[in-house]
Amino acid sequence: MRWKRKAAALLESALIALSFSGCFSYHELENMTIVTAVAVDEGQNGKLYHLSFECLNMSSGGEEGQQGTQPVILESEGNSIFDGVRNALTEASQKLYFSDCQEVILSRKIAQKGIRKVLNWFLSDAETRVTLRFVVSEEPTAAELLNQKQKTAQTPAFEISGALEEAYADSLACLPLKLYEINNILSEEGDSLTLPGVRVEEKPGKPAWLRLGRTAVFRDDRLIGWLPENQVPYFLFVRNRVQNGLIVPGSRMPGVTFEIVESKTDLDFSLSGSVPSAELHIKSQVTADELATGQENGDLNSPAFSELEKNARNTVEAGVESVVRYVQQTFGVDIFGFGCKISKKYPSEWKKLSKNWDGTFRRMKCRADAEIKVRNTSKLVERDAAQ
Amino acid sequence: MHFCGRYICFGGGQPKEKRQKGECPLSSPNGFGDARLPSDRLEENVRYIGNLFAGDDTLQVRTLSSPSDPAARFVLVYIDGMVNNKLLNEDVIRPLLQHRFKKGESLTAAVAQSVTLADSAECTDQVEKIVQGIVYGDTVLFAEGCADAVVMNTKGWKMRSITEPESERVLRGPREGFNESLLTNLTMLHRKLRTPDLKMRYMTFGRRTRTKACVCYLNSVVNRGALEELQRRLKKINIDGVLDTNYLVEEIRDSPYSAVKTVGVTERPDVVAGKLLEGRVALFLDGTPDVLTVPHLFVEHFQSDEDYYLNFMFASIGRFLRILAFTLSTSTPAIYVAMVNFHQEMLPTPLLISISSARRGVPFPTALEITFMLIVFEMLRESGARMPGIMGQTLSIVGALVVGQAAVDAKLVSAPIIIIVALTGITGLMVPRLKGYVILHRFALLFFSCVLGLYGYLLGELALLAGLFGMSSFGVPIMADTYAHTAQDYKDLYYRVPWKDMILRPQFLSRNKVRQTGGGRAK
Repeated sequence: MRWKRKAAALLESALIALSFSGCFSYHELENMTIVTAVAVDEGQNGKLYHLSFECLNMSSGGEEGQQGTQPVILESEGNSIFDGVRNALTEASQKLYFSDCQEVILSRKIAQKGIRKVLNWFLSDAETRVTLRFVVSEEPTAAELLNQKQKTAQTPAFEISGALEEAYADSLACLPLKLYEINNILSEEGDSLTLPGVRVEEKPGKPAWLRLGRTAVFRDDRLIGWLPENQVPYFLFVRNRVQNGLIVPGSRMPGVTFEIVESKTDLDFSLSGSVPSAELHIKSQVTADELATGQENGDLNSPAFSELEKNARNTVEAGVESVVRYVQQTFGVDIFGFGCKISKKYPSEWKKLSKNWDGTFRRMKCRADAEIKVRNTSKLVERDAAQ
Repeated sequence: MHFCGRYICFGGGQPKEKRQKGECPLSSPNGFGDARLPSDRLEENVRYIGNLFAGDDTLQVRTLSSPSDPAARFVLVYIDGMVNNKLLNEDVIRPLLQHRFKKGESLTAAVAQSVTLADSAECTDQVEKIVQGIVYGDTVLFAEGCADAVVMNTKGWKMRSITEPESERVLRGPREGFNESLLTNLTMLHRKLRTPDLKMRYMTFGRRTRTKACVCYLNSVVNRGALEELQRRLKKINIDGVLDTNYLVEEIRDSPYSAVKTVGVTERPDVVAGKLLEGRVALFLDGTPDVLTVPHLFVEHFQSDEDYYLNFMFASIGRFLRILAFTLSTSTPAIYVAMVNFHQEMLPTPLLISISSARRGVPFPTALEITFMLIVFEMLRESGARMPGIMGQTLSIVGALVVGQAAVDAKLVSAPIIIIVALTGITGLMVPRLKGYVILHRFALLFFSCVLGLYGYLLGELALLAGLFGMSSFGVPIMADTYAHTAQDYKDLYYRVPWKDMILRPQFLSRNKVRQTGGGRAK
């Protein structure tokens, strides 16, 4: 009998504990407003920030395919990000839900004033993810990007995040940074932040659409300038962030395109002189996907073929050296993270160098040497011809 | 324990049941003890037996006298319908009337020894044996001047023919299944295991039903501990009637209040033979095709007899799917509720959006919705199992249209719930032997999940698993094989290896470990 009483007591206390705690974080999905993007602008009416939230309107009616795809823009003002988020509840009937937020769009003015204050809430809130992406609007405000008609994706937010992902993976057009990466770069010595820019493309007579633009360059957390689009691929080479993409020799060798299969960049520094010099070793495996030069170029053993490799090499080397020079002259901030690499490799020398790193960076010499292996040419060659 | 004689009657001597007023003391349900026939006069004996069966109009009494010697008079007593009339006529009555009895010899002894053609004929004066003979289809012969009677085997009643069991159909392998006759069932087993090592011990259960049962095992293989434990528990049973093996199961099983089976049940002789070969004990009961096997491990729920008749790879896939189905069937609703209501961040964005838009306008919380739909599914299943086949169409229309389509269209439940419930239901039917347990396990997890999310789900799963690991069946832990540690221990667990690699028997089941040596291995 005794054990029965014990068991009953246990069961009772378990029931009480479970039922009194309630379903402590039980939420129904339809009671949340799913936020897919946040645009941060300067506030008016004396408030610091003006926030625009792109939310998904889950209309229960309507046609089948249209369900859940209508973006709705909520707007609010606040003296901090969190303040703005809470103030948005005056417009929304439901709690805003941030776990599926794709990106945060910063206006130029906010970026120029410093983005640390903006980042903080996104870093510390429980719902937002550390993989959240940040972009800078090249237009006067950030909010207007969300008001554009999207071309392919469900909403502008998905359009931008999709473009970031694809452009980075396949065409070396941007370096999309996630929240935690941004935070790491900002807290690292000898490294500077860049963020992808997004702009609205307008052509007369056609509806405007969104597209990725130049890359925003930051000194510490303030926007100071823009890196042109044609420099971005070589910037990715220097940062060793090349996945897949194309090497187009262009006028050097018309009609040829290489596709990168894999690429790796090693950085070597020599600290012997008055200023350190950097040496970049780029090792790439490519395939020659477009080979309209005719002749026996397709034959991996022919002399003409080594000409092909040489052209690819020169293209990369020249591009890389020119982007480094451009950044040194135009911005004078180390967006390549040279300083960071030196500090890891030569900590004692870094103590001296770190005092005036931007000045040192400006004067650094940089040499690139690329080793490009063409794996195949997508051409069938007769055995006789090959020998 | 010792076995004496052909039958062992348990619970004979202790009259625990309250005797009804006015009931004839001699027809007490507890048997007749050592009572003997009252005299050597024919009329008196017949009257005595007739009194015992007063009120039973099926009792037939036939008086005969030998044409050669009119003083030699006999009375045959039997129950109409339980005897084979042809046997009775040919083997008992005809020789009786043709035989010339000598003066002075004991009539009953003469009948038993040199007259009757029945295959078994026994002289006895014990009332117990005589009564048992009559109620079990024997014919009892009383003779003038004898204080004993002859019990002759003339059994012959109608029984169901041997068919394939409905609940354990197979595509490959033997198709025969047990029927309701104990002896037929035992012969089916005997045909599979042709060895004197196969031991069969009779027992009787039920003070009123006197149901015969038989404990079977392979003497040199059997798990002694389990055998002795089974016999010890069976001895303690003292119930008035046993109509199906489940009466015995609930009397003797371990963890009697748990939903997990600790005693195996099958209707197939090949399954019983297979289990005996692994060192288990089988218990047959007269009047039911369900045969018990012990010890019963948890993994046996997932083992199908067909696993052993099909190619080992297909069998392994099947077994893997069954285990997966069990997991899915118990966990899907709980995980769905946890993900949708507690951990939305774990859902991919497109899924979140589609679930969210599906839930728009649905009035009930997800937890209530899913509980309700699961109960509706169980109702559909139960009504499908119990109703006459001719109404099947109604059920499928109601099930598919009303509960599925219409409920979603009317926004009473959301579409994902229907999918979750369907998945849960279908996977639940893949392991029919675990049906009852799966339902309880599922609802327990769902409850925990509704209260605490994934955290609660894991806590619930841990608690239920701990419960499973704590249970045993006749001295063998029911999860014993899952924490085995040699390759041979895993040969028949999550997958089945080819027969040539089944070298050993299950370690914890049998005492004779080696199943085969050599094997016809290809070079």
